Amino acid sequence: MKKRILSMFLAAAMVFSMTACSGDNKDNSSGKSDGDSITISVHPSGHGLPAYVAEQNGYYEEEGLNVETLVYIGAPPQMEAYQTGAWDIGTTGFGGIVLGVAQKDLKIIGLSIDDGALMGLWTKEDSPIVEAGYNEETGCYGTAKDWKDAEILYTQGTITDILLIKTLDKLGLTIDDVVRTNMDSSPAFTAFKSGSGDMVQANASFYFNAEEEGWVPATTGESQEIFLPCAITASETIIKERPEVVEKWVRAYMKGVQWIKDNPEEAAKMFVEFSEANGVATDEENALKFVNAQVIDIPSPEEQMEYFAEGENGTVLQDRLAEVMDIYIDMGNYTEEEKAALMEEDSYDSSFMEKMVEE
Amino acid sequence: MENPANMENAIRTLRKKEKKKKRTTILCGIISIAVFLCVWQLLCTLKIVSGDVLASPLQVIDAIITKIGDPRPDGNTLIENILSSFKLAMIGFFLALIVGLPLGLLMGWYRPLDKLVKPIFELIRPLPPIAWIPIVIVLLGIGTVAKSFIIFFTTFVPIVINSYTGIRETNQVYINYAKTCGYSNWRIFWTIGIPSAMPLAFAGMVIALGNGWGTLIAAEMLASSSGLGYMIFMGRNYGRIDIIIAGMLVIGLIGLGLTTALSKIENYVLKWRINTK
Repeated sequence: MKKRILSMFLAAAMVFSMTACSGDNKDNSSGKSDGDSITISVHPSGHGLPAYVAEQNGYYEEEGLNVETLVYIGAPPQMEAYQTGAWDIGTTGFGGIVLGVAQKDLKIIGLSIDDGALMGLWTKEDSPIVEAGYNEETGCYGTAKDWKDAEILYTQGTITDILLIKTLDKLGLTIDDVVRTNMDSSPAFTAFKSGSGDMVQANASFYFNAEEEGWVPATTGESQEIFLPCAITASETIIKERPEVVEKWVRAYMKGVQWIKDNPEEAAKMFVEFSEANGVATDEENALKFVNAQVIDIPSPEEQMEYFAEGENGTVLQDRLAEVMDIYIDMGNYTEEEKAALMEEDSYDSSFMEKMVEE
Repeated sequence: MENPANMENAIRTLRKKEKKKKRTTILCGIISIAVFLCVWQLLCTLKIVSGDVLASPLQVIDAIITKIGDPRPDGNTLIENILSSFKLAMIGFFLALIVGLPLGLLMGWYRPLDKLVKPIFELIRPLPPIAWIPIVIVLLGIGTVAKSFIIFFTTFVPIVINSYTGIRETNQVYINYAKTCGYSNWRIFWTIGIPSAMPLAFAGMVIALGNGWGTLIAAEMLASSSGLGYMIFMGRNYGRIDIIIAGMLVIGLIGLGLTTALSKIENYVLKWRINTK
């Protein structure tokens, strides 16, 4: 009998221990909330570079900030960490915007690189898709017949979904007409190089690696007119309780942006350091191309305010996000409720950018 | 010499006791799972744990039922995902069985082969399945063969170790007796060594099958467009905690079903064991 009671107790203890580390994480201010300490999160990519520059160039010290930077390879781990209260401010792409803003309490306080600028599904030069030639109308190489049943290696749940759907739509196809294989960028690149798949995603800095390999961009963000900025997000708690810290951090980040615009070659060197320190290999030549083609175009505070201005249905930014969300809802990946949460006025706070404009 | 009737009675009593013990074990299992689920549900209902962090058991059950006919959000129904993962796991497991069982038996019986193969085996043995992923991509691509290879390595090791140990533990008295009767080494291996090794070899297969099924996530991490591991990844990408836990639960339940089925097969194949007990 004792054993049975003990086993039931252990089962209950297991549930408690499983949930003990999680808890309700609406309060996302990090443990380092004293003074001007702050924890931020970035990806080892273009939208994380200004934060790295700010750290390396001493902009945080100039603002009197003590910043701890957490680097995540993608949005899911970044937002899971946010749920545990690991960070207060973070830069992220569209996936992170939905996971953090629509599903949690993050707010968009600013914008960063345009995710659509350097985005492509690449294929090899001798593939039937390239041989069929480029079609101006569809903005891609090949015909529907060439694309049908093609295996495409890419990370699902990212903005590449949108690139693929838009392209397929123009070809009169749907996602069910191709084989979508979920892979991270780096292994997908290696696998494609080794002969797997018919097309591969090569975005951001990988874009130039693909170009170097002699591959052809079967479709690109530019040709499909995908223009979607990454976001600077902050927790509701830190915005309410320590807005002055958020403001200082945004100022330091925007100083980083300006420095990149003024010093692209130095910024490319820093990008190599930043990438390599986080396990993403890149070389200086490609890094410079990447900085010039994408990072340099991070909107200035004035330009950012245009996104927060009124658009057709909400703000310009909301309209952009809504368009993408509709595609995801059609695919069954996200729900109307998540779109509604993303469209709430409360999910945005342009006051920090406004201050940057005033300054 | 004991009375056969008494012996039969003793066996009957023993079987009854065993059945009762089994019933108690099953009952205890059911109660502890029920308590676990109730506490979990309560924590979610009372919002002690946020719904963003942990879906409740009812939400998970709902997600499983919905996924049976609804391909959202990963693009496949639950059945399609189960079949895809099952195919992978079985290919990996049976390949490991075909290669590992004879290898382990032969290594355990023939010393020169043991000396030749063991160093390589010991070198490969500690490698975690994920470590194989980069080299597998280059050598085998990203298809079924590549993913099955990851499962193969997880299942191969316990099969080899257990069949090796099993045959090494063959009772020397039986071997000597067979030798006295003029049996050849091969015949002793075949008629005494292999049957002696079977109980441990089967234990190895049960471990291997459990490990292999549990490695699905790693295998489908390589690249996938369907499968239970893929379903979990997609649940993660789209912030669907109910889908993640549903995937975990289905993996656990099927894993339990597979190892139970294999244990039943073991009991059937090794019926003769009762005589030696």
